[in-house]
Formats: sequence, C-alpha cells, structure tokens
Amino acid sequence: MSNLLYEIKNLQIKSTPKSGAIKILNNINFNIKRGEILGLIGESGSGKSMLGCALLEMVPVGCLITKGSIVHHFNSNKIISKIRGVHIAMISQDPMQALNPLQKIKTQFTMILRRRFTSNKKSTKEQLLRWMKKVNLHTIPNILDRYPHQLSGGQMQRVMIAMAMSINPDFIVADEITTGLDAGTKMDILNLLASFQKTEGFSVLLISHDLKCIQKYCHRIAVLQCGEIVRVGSKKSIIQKLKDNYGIAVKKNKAKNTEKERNPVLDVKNLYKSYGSGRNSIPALKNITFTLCKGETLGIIGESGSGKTTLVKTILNILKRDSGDLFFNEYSEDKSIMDPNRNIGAVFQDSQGSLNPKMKIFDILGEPLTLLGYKNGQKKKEKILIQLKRVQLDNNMLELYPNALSGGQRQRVSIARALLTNPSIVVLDEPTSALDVKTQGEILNLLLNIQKQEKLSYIFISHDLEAVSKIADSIAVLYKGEIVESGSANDVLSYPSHNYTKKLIYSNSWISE
Amino acid sequence: MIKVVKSFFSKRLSSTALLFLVGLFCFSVFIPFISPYSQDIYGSVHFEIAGQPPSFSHWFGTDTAGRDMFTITIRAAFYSLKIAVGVVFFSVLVGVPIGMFSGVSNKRTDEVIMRITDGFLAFPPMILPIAITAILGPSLNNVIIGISVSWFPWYVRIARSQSLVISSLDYVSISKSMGASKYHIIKTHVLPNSLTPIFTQASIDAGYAILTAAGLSFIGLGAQHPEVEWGLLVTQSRAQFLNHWWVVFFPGIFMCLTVVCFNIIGDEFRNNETVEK
Repeated sequence: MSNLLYEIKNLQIKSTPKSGAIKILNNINFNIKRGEILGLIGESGSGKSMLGCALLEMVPVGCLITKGSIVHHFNSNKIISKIRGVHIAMISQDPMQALNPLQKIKTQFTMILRRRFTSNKKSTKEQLLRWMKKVNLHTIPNILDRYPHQLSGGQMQRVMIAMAMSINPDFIVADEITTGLDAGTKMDILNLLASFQKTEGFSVLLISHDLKCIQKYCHRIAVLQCGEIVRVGSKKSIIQKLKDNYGIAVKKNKAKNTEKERNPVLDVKNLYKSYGSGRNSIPALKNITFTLCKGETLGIIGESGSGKTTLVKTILNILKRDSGDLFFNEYSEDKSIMDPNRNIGAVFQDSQGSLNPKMKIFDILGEPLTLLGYKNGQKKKEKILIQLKRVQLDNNMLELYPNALSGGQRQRVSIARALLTNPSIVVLDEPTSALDVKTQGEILNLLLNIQKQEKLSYIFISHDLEAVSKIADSIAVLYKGEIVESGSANDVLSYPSHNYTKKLIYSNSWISE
Repeated sequence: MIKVVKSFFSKRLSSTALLFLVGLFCFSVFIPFISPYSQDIYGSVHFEIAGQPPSFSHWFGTDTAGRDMFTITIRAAFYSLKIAVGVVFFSVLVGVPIGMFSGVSNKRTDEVIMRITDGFLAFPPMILPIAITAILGPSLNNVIIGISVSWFPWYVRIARSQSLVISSLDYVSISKSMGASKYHIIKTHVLPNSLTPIFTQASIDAGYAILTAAGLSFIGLGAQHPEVEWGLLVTQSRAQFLNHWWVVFFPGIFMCLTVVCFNIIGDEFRNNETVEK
C-alpha cells in the first residue's frame, strides 16, 4: 500500500470563461501522506478553501479544473464523489451554516451514520451517545434533541467533528474550523481533532490563516500564495522561513512616560449598562472604572460576550449608559460627557462593515471633515491627502470603493478617518483580529508610530493577548461585564491574580509554546 | 446606480423589457400625431366601419363605434403608464422619508409612526382606493391619489426596516460617534444603501398599479373619457367580447405584457441586490 493518500500534479483551476477565466489556483504540486496533519496556510483570498474543495471534487459552480490531476490512493477504486462520506469527511468554517437549522442534531447525525453503516435503530442510538461522550457533549442535557441554534459555536463545531469522525474516514478536510471562536474554545477544538487523529491515524488537511495553530498541530506545512503553492516542507523549516518573511517585529517604545508625569485624559467611573428593561433586563457592563493617561494605551481583554463592544459603544456615547460618569479632561474636567465627542475617534474590527460600500474612499475620509463644517474644496482635499500619506496609502485610492481594497488597506482607511478629527483618544475595537499575521504587524506598527508622533491615547480592545501585549501599557481584564483585574501590562500578563485571567493567558499561550 | 443600469443592458431579458416600456411610452405620446385615426382618441365615431376584425387598415380592428382599436390601445398606454409611474412616485416620495425617519428615531416616535402605518394597512387593498376615488370623484388623478394613499405604508415599512438594519452597521456607529445628525445619517448612509430594495419593490408595484387602476375602472371609479386607460377599454367592451374578441384582447394583452415587463425589471433589481450582498 502506498504511503501517499493524494497526489496533486500541476493542478490549475480557473473561473469559467463567462466569469472572466481568472486563474484561481495555478501549478499546484504536492502530496498528502497517510496519517499526517498537513497544514495549508495562506492569506485570505489565496485559494485555500478552493484547494480543499478540489480535493473533495466539490469545485463550486463557475469554476473549472482546467489542467493537472488529483490522484487518490484510498482503499477504493471509485471516484472521489462516490467516497465522500465514506473515506473522506469535511469540517467547515461556519458550523451554523453547515448544520441544517430545521433538523435536530439526532436526525442529522443519524442520517450520516445510516449512509455509512447499515445499522439498526438501537445500535445507531448507542453510536450517537458514544460519539457525544467522545467529544465531551454528553454532559449537556438532551444534546441530541437540540436544534443547532440551541448550541454555542464551540458546541456546534464539536458536533461537526463528531459527525466527521463517526464515519471512520481516512481523510478529513478541516477548513478554518476555529475561525470566530475565542482562544479557549479554539484550543479545545484543535486538541480534540489532534487527539482523534493520533488514535485513529487518519490524514488531515488543516486549512488556516493562523500561523500559530498550524505550527502547533501540523506535521508538514504547505504555503499558498496568490493561488500557487510556494513552499511545502517540514514544520520547522517552513515556520522559520515564514517568520523571516511575514513576522514583522512590532517595536514598542517602552521607555515613554516612565519619567514624565502621567496626565489622565479620560476618567471612566462606575459605568453601568444593561439591555432590556424590568425583569428581562440583562446587565452588560457592571461598575466599570478606569483611567486613561495621555500618550498611553489601555488594553482591554476578554472573551467574546464579555461586553467589550458594549463598552466601546458606551465610551463613544453611541449607546446611552444607565449610570456612571465619563470625564473627558481636555474637554471639561468636572462635567460628565453624555453625547458623542469628536475628541474620541474609533476604529472597529470589521474593516468591510465600517466603510460604507456605496461611498468612494475620498467621500469616506471627507465625512468627518464635512461634519466639522468643511466645504468641498482644496483644504479638505489637502487634509485627506496628509492623512492618507500618514497611513501609507496611495493617493490614487481616493477614487476607489472599499470593495476594491484589501482588509489591511481598509483598516488603514478606518484609521485615517479616525484621525481626521484630530482626536486625543482613539478607541480600537479589535482592529487586527480579522487580518492575517503580516498585516496585523503592519497595522500595529502604524498605530504605534502615530501614537508616538501625536501623543495619542489608545483604548485597545481585543481577545488576542499577543497583540495587546505588544501595544498596551496597562491592561484591564473584562469578564461578564466587569473589570476583574487591572494593572500595568507586565504585571497582569506575568502575574495574573484572577482565575479568569490565568485561563485567558493559558489559552492564548498554548500556541506560542 | 451606474452599475445597475449597465447590468440592465447587459442582460437581454431586462433590456428588452425596459426597451418595450420606454418604446411603448414614446409611441403613446406621439400616436395622436402619427395615426390617421387620431380623432378617434377624442371620441369621433364612424359607425360605417363598426366592429371590424383586425385588417391591414385597422391592425387591431375597430370597436362598436367604428374607432381604430390600435390607436386607442396605444394611446391608453400613456394613461396606464402615467398611473403606474404616478402611484409609485407618490408612494415612494411620501413613504420612504417617513420610514427612514422612523428607523433612526427613538422608540416612541418609531412606535407612533408604525401604529399609524398599521392603521392604513388594516384596510383591504382595494377598499381605501375605492373610498378615496368615491369621495374625490372618478378621474385619472384621483385614481393615482387613491392608490398612492393605500400603498405608501408599504414603503414606510421597507424604508424603516432598511434604516434599522443599516443604522446598526459599524459605519453608521462611527458616523454617530463623530456627532452626525439623523439627517446626515439618512442622507449619507441609509438612503444610498436602501435604493436597490426600494426600486425593486417600486418596479413590481408599478405593474400592480396598472391592474388596480383597471379594477377601479371596472367598477366605474377609474379614469374617465378622454383619458382612457386599458382597464376602461376592457370594461367598455366586455359585453361585446364574444362577438368582437379583439376589442378586449389587445388592451388585455398590452396590460399583461406591461405588468410582466415591470416584474422582469423588478427581478433584475433584486438579482443585482443579491449579487451586491
């Protein structure tokens, strides 16, 4: 029996002539061995998912394999489409989309088992329960009778893993299976997959844009760039090369403010915010108190659902708070601000969603100036050009729409827009989490440079501890709407006192080991 | 918008539908100057040629008063299209600003506006136009007013829902954080991003406006001579349908084609919207 499971030679995939015959994948050559986890890494849009689909013979409508071959060595002579669900399984990125929302977990799972094994009702139920136990879902009451929307993202992904494993596959395509999950859940899911792989010995194609995930779990790595495999090799050699090319060192000026006096610019005192009213009221923020000093960065960390975004919107005064005070010292030292204030800028996580798709970049950048009373004219254009230069974007981008820009470029436009009103504080709500490693480093460096020049204060909100540690001077940990721990970045990260902080640090550090 | 127009002309079906409607409108404007039977539009009768079937001299035949059905049917397109465009124009003009204002307003204002809207929607679709045209008197303009009053609440709803969705997006949040007014948010963000669903609904509604106006004509509350629209033509000739099929058939088929064309255009708008998303 050959040691190889897949041999891919000179594979080329193009969009159909009607859609412009654009090369999506070109000259793809690599093998997948039996019993290995092969990591496929690349930036967004590099063709990773398309390659995964091609291995399953599921190339989407509008695309064609125009050249090359995919040869499989499964214990079957049938074509790939006939052995899907028997020898091959797939775990997709968004389990909410992959599970049928109208069917219970039991129904969907039974369907898969029945297709694979011709078993009776009783043994199917036993199998179902066994699998729920294997993926640690057996403790959840009535798990099999639940609908997908009654499960969390992590639980749904566990169900998907159980479904994929249950057919005893030889090969699994895991396409960005941890995207959208927080660090703790991410670790659980990947550990689960890796432990199954170890015991069952199947092959996995682990597709991800997260270098650390790949580094931790894969035996070999393939790097995809602009539709071409640029490198395939052992983990060690590839990671070193990638770090040389991609890893942009974020240089932080640590020496600042140590000698100077710290001037508070924003005082947040006893902030409360809840959603709903009366009995149905759900508290989102409880007793939030912190101080932000001039030229400093306060990192606020917490998992999804801990109230990070509510805090951003309350600080920006887009959401009305229930009680508490916001003192903006340059504006008025003793008057709590209640309305949106132009001295506080904002950059949000979703670079696509934070730019109006119907406006050109010039108009997007012109909006804050229009709100400040600038008429369309030379002065407005000059101001925009200065900011554009500062965020290192070309002038010819002004005439483009946001769709034509990459994620990193869009985030730069967002930063430029936030700076156009000359704010003293910029609230950065996960500005790097949707970007790939290289762009993340670039954006963080840009933010640090601007901070140095302008003496800006940042509130940097993230669930990515690494990014926070690179940029923040002090850190506050948000848990279930409360700040459970705060202090200088070094103290909080090196000597965490609260259990939740310890857990967060542990789940973030497992990948950097 | 330029993209949408380009996409219209790149698709054969939608560009044919649009050309049909534009061509029909132009033809209906100029028919009084081109047709040798233009006097028939204003009510002249020729009993000597009454009830003739389609022929080379009268392409769509003649009615029982000897009038050329081709000239009358084409001229009726002018009034039917006037109703379609008029109804949609007034419904959008009134409904969209109210809906958008409601969507970006506080809960109380929103509630008040929506309950008033519900009041309008509580009437069965034909009752309100019938009541309004009965009070104002049957005429083409009153038909437009009657149907518009009945239909504008739908646009309030569409515009409000669009406005609610768009108001929750990040770019609106950032605009708010910079101190943007409700007017600025509606003008800059909500309106440009809501145009496609509104146009989709409007183009489909334009076809239904013609059908509703025809319904009103059928019960005698629609357009009156000489502003003859297709519904009125069908109503007038329905008694002769068995002996003179062409007097009902041609206005009917034109009405049908026009409604289909409006629907095709609406579908194309919807397709563009899906692609954009």
